Amino acid sequence: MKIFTYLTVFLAFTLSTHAAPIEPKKVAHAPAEATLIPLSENWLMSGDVPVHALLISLQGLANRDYPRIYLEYPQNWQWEIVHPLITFLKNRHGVKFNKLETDDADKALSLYSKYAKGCVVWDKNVRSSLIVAFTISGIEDLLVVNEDQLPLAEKHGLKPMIDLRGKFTGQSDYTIFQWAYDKYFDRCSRDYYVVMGGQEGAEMQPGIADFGIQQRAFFSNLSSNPKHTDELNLLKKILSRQNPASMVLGWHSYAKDTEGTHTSLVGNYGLIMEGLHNLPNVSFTSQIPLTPDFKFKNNHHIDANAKLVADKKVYICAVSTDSMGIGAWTKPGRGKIPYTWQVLMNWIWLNPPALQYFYEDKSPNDYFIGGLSGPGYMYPKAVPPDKFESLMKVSDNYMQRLDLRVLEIMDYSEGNRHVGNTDLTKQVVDLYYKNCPNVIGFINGYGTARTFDLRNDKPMISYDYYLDVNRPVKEAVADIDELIQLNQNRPYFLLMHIRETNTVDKVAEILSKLSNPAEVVPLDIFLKLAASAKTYKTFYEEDNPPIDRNL
Amino acid sequence: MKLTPISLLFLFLIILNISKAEDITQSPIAGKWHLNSELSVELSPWKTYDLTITTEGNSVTIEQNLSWGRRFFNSSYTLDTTKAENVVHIAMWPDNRHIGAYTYDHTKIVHATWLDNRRILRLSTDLNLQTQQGVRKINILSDYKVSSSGSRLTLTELRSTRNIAVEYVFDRVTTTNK
Repeated sequence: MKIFTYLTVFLAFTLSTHAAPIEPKKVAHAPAEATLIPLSENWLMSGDVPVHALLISLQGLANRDYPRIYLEYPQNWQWEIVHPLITFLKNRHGVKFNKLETDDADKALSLYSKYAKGCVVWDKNVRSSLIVAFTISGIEDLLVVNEDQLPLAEKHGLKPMIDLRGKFTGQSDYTIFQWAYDKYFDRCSRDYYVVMGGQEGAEMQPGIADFGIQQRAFFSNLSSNPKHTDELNLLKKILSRQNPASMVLGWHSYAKDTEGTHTSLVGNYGLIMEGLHNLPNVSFTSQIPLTPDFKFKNNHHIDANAKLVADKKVYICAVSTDSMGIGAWTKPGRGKIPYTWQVLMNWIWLNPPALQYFYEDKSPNDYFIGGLSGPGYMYPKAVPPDKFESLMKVSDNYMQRLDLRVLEIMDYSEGNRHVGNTDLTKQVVDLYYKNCPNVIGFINGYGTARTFDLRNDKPMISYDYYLDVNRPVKEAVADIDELIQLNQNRPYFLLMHIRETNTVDKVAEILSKLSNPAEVVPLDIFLKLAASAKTYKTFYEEDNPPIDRNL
Repeated sequence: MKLTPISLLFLFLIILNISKAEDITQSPIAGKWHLNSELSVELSPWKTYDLTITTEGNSVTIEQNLSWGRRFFNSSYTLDTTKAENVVHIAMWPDNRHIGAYTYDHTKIVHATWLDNRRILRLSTDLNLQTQQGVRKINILSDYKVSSSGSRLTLTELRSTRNIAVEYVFDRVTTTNK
C-alpha cells in the first residue's frame, strides 16, 4: 500500500512537472556585444518583407545557441517595447550594440552567414511558400531568400539547397501545408508550433519567426474555421501531436478565421497560446537571464490575508490588458492614478528582460496581475477539465514567481462582448477556486461580463465597463455615471477594462469628470473591499445560453 | 340630380374621412434612413445603423439594422399608436455601449405617440435591465424628428439613468444616395 502511495505521488509529480513548457536555456549573462539591425517600416510582400524575412531567419539561426542579433523594429511596431528594451539591455545588462544600417543584409551576412548551411528559396508568387520556408529554415539551418536575393546569398557562400519556386503554383494552402507536414513535421519541435497569421495578402509581419526558426517549429497559417474543413483537420492533427501544455506562438489569420475559434481550438488540446505574431527578438531575449540583483516584486497594498471593510460608496478600479507591450505603458499619464496591468506570465521564461523592464519601470500606482485565464491566453470553457488542472499548476507556479495575487479570466469560446455569451459556468468557476489556492481573487471578462462570485473571502468580479479606444471622454463619463445610477446599492464595485491604446491620462480625465463621488483604488484593495460587502449577485452561465462561435 | 343639405353633409364627411385616412398613412418619417456617423453619437460597438420605418393606419413598424464586420443586430417591431402599451420582444439591448447592463426578460413595453402632424414620433419605453446588483427598471423617451426638408431624421433618446441625451442623425436613403 505504501509503495502504491509513493508511486502515485511520484507519478503525479512527474506529470505536473512534465506539463510545463520546455523553457529555452539561458546564457550565464547577457552578451557583452550584440549586433543591432534596424528594419524599415515597409512590411509589404512586394516591398521589404523579403529582406526582413532574410534577416529574421538569419537572426533565428545565429541566435540558436547564443544571443547575437537584435532587430530594431520600426517605431510604429505594435509591440512598442522593442525600443525601450534596447536602452534597458544597454543600461541594465551592459550590452553594447553594434548598429548596422537599416536592412543591411549584406553586412549582416558578412558577420553571420556561417550559421546557415545554405538557403531555401521561396516563391515570390506564392505567399504561403514563405511560411513553409520558415519551417525549412529551422529544420535544415537555411537562410530564407527569394530569387532576387540569390546573388547576395551566393556572395556569402550560401547555395540554394531547397527551391520552392514553382512548386506550389496554383495550390491551396491546405495542399501546401500538407506537403510541408508530410515532409518536415516529424523533425519539428513538439514544444512549439507557430501560427504565422495576423495580416494577410499583401502584408506580413513575421516578428515571432526568429524564435520559431531557432526552436525548429512547424509554421503554418492553417484555419480553425469549420468552413475550411481540410485546413482545420490538418491543424487539429498538428495540435494533437504537440506535447501537453506546449506552446502555440503567433496569431490567427485575419483573413481565414477568428480569435475566438482559434483560441478555442488551441484550448481544446490543452496547449498554451502566446498570441502575438509580431512579438520580436524572442530568440535573443529568451536567452537573457534576469540580472542577479533583481527579484520580481509587485506593488501590493495590503497583506494577502488581511481584511478590509468597504464604506457605502462607489469604488472604481481600472485594468489595462492586451499585454503591457502593446498598450499604454509608454504613453502619457502612467503613475497618475492607481492602475492595474495584466502580465503575460509566459514571459517569465520567454522574455525575461521585458518583464524585468516592466517591473523596474513601474510607478507606485502600477499593480500587476496574471493572465490571461491561465499560463497563456486561453478560454477555460474550451479546455477539457483534466488538461485545465495541469495548466493551472503551471499558472500557479508562474504567479508565485512573479509575485502576482490576482488572475484575470476571459472566455470568448461561446460569444464575444456583443453576441453569444461570455459567462463562466459554475463548473469552470469551481475549477478556478480549486486550482488557484494562492490568489486573493479573480477578475473576469474583456468586454463586460456577468459572472460574479465570492468564496472564502476571494471575490470573482467581472468587468462592468469596457473603455473602447474611440469612446469620447464625454460619453465615457456618461457611461460610468449611468452604471453608478443603475447600481444603487452601496458599496458598488465598478471594474473597468481599458482597451489597449487608451492612455492613463484619458482614463484619469474621465474619472475626474464623474458627477458621482467615487474612489479609484488599486485592484488588491478593490478585491479586499469587495470581499467585505457582497452587493453583487452570484451569477454563472445560465442553462441554454445564447451561443455564438465567433465565426 | 339635386343635392340636399343632408347629402352634402354626408359627402363632406366622406371627404373629411378620406383626408384623415391619408393623414394617418402619410408621415415624413416613413422611409429608409442611414446613420450619419459624423453628426451622431459614437456608435461603438457598431459601425453602421440603418432604420426602415413604415406606417400604415395606426401602426408604425421600426426596423433596426446595426452591424460591424461579421456582427449584426436586426430587429423589427410594430407599434399600435392607439394602444397604451405595446409589448415587444427583444433579443438583446443594442443600445448598450459597453456597460454591464443586459436585457433581463427580453421584453420592452412601448407607448407610441404622433406629434406635430406626424412629423415626430415619440416613444416611451420601459424595460428591465440586469446589472451586477440585480434588476433595474429604466425608461427611455425617444423622439424621431424629421427635418422640414424631409431629408434628415434625428433620433434623440433620453434614458432615465443617463445624464446626457443620446443623439443619432440619419440621412434619408434615396435612389440617388443609396
